[in-house]
Amino acid sequence: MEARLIIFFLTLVVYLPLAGVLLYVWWKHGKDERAVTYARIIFLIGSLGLFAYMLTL
Amino acid sequence: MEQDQLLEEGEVMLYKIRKHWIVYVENFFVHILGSLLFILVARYLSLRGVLSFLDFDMKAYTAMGLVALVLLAWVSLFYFWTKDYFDVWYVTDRHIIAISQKEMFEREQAFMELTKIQDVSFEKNGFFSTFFGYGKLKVQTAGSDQQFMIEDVLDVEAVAHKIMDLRDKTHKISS
Repeated sequence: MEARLIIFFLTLVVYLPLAGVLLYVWWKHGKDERAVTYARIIFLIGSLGLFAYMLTL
Repeated sequence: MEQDQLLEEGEVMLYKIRKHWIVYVENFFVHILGSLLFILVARYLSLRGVLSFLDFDMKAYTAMGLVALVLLAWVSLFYFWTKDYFDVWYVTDRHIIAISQKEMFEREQAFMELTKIQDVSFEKNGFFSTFFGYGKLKVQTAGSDQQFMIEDVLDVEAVAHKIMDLRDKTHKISS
């Protein structure tokens, strides 16, 4: 397997539980909070962008 | 909303006490500047012929590793934001409900009756605190050693006065 894919999936394996914890806490304690909604959107779009950027390197 | 579940029947939420935006800005800049540094190094390694002893693939791997670190910084930024944002006090017509988000899975809730408030004090330390009007707010209850404290409160002086006024009003109603 290509090393780039391994790095990518290792990053994904570290990222997913951390992101999951954040999303869970926001869902649990920040329901209907506008700031939390914005934070969720910015966080997810930023994460997606960074993963996409990783793939272009 | 979450705070609605904390209220007793007929209890009215008056306002929320949160941290000053400068706390978030400070946190943001620390993380963004750190990440930008990683991105610039990654870009440099990826595009230029730096580290010529490494072959093309190795440079790309190094760049990917740096972007992975940026991703961790990105998560860390939101982790600290969450800790700050979920540190909140709900002031109602009967209580102060203090919620402290210590860690992601460590959260404390404490209730203080307005009639039991003995002392409200605040501290502003330093230039930025004085200039932007944020500071530490402390509320002490009568007859116990319980003290509520929240750091970097937005407009701390006005908030302290509001709580004292509210306590006086509650005393008048109850007596």
